[in-house]
Amino acid sequence: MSIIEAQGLHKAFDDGTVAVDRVDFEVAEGEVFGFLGRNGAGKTTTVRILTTLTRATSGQARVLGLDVVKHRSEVRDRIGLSLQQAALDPLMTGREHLQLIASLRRMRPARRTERMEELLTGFGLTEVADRLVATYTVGMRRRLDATLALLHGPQLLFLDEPTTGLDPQSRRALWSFVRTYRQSGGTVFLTTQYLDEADELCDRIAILDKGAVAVIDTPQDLKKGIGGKVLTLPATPEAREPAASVVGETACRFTDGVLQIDLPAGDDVLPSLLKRLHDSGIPLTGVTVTDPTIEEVFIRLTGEGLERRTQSDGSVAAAALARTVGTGRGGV
Amino acid sequence: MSALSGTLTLLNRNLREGLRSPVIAFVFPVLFPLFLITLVASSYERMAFIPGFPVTPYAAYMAPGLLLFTGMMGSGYSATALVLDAQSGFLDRLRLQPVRPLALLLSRLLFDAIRVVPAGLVVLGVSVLLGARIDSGPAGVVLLLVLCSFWSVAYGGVFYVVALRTRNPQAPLAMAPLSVLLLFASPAAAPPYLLQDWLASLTTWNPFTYVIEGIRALMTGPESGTVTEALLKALAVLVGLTVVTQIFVVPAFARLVGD
Repeated sequence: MSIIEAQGLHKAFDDGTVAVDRVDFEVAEGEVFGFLGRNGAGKTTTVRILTTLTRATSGQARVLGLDVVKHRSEVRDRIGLSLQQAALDPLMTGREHLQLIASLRRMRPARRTERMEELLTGFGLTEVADRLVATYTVGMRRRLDATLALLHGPQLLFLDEPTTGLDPQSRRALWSFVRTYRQSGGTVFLTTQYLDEADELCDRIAILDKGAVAVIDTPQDLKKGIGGKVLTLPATPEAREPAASVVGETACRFTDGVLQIDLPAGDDVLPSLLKRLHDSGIPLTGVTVTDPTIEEVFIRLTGEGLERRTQSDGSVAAAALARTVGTGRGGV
Repeated sequence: MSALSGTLTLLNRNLREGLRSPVIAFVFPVLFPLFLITLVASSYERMAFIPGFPVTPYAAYMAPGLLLFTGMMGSGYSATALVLDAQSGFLDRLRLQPVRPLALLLSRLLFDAIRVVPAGLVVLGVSVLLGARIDSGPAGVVLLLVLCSFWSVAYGGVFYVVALRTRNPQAPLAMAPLSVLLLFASPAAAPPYLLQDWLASLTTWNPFTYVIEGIRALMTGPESGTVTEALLKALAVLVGLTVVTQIFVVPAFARLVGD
């Protein structure tokens, strides 16, 4: 059963910018669906349309079988959203945030207390729950944002670039939380600009380029789809030109001191290719041959790589996120 | 959730936020009017000796204008906070809850009404110590605080218009000098017959004038007509100003929350 259906979803802003360009996709119940793209590719706008915060210019979206325009309130009742920029009030404590959302959702007092403690414990926030959010690290803010999204036990969770700015440990912990949430029956719509995150977490990935979906498939099939293995060797930028003359312009690229060459299918191509590269003056030290990654898929489809991961805040030991197991489900 | 319970829940959050960042919301409304009533009223004490001056001592004359001035000090705080909520995404979080968009705006306007009450009481108390009187008694105190609160909401609407149109949290703060213009183009500090002709005629177009006269009627009696007439005029001006500003605020807010 499809839990999200988007048909011809299109969003153009007043200044003429097309953020989402006639996008079609479906998300099945219980899957982690990744939306992968650069900054400005249309990921957040798509999330805002699906979560009823922004209206599409045209097209239709149904979430949990409900039209996001006609049944806005019902959709909002049943989804959780963790926004790209942790949406918190610095002058409130973590506990006050939870109390505010619980009050607005009219959760029964007993259930409210139980659920809040469950989430604060699960996300490792108990000790800081009564501190002002202004004093929180990026990781703590992210975790609090997630607790707010989960407080009412949503069936479908939207995570908009949830690991941006997190240190590696917190990132791993959040991945663990996503897996656990899915195991407990939840569906996750995840946007990210991190290729490893999409590869690691998602059952299916939509690659978004300039507002349009370039491809949707499982990570495995996406990688299979681009054919053979990739030859990688340390090189200087000058090595690209002779390499291109050997393998063709589109089959080789130079990034970060590394020359990557897409190998044609077949087991017998490597020795002759290495010989030709050597003959063209390229030193063949440190050569490795690997299966293609999602990054290679992305580059093939969009012609460019994604931004490198930014410096993390290095602040949190958020392994506790992983303990969230299943707390996200259940009624109010 | 009903609009009322949603509004009260959000009002509680706004009050807590205001108390944790009290300078603009709660301290400004007390500080400047207190400064004016203690320093300026003392310095201009002899104004009250001018023949025909309606009230003595001078502090009693100036008190109504300064009471209303509490409602103008810190105006823009709520409008700025609303834009900051929108910028931080917190407004989106609130929109995802079962709460009516109107409650988000109403809770801010109610906060504006409440935040001037402590300041009004302090300024009123100091004014009484300096010789001001309240002829209408305790009921008059309540009424004049209500007028102060209403003025804060009506006048604050201008700041919401600016904030919501520009979506710039700094923009409402740049409007602060407007309060000084309104103060001096009114009979707050001197009766119109002592002002230059052009300024005296300007006071008749200044909404602040009629609300001051309403409060003055409650404190020292009306300058002309009855207390009720003065209060009705003040009320009409307040309702009119609120309607005019909210005609611009509500659609701008609806655009902000995408409704």
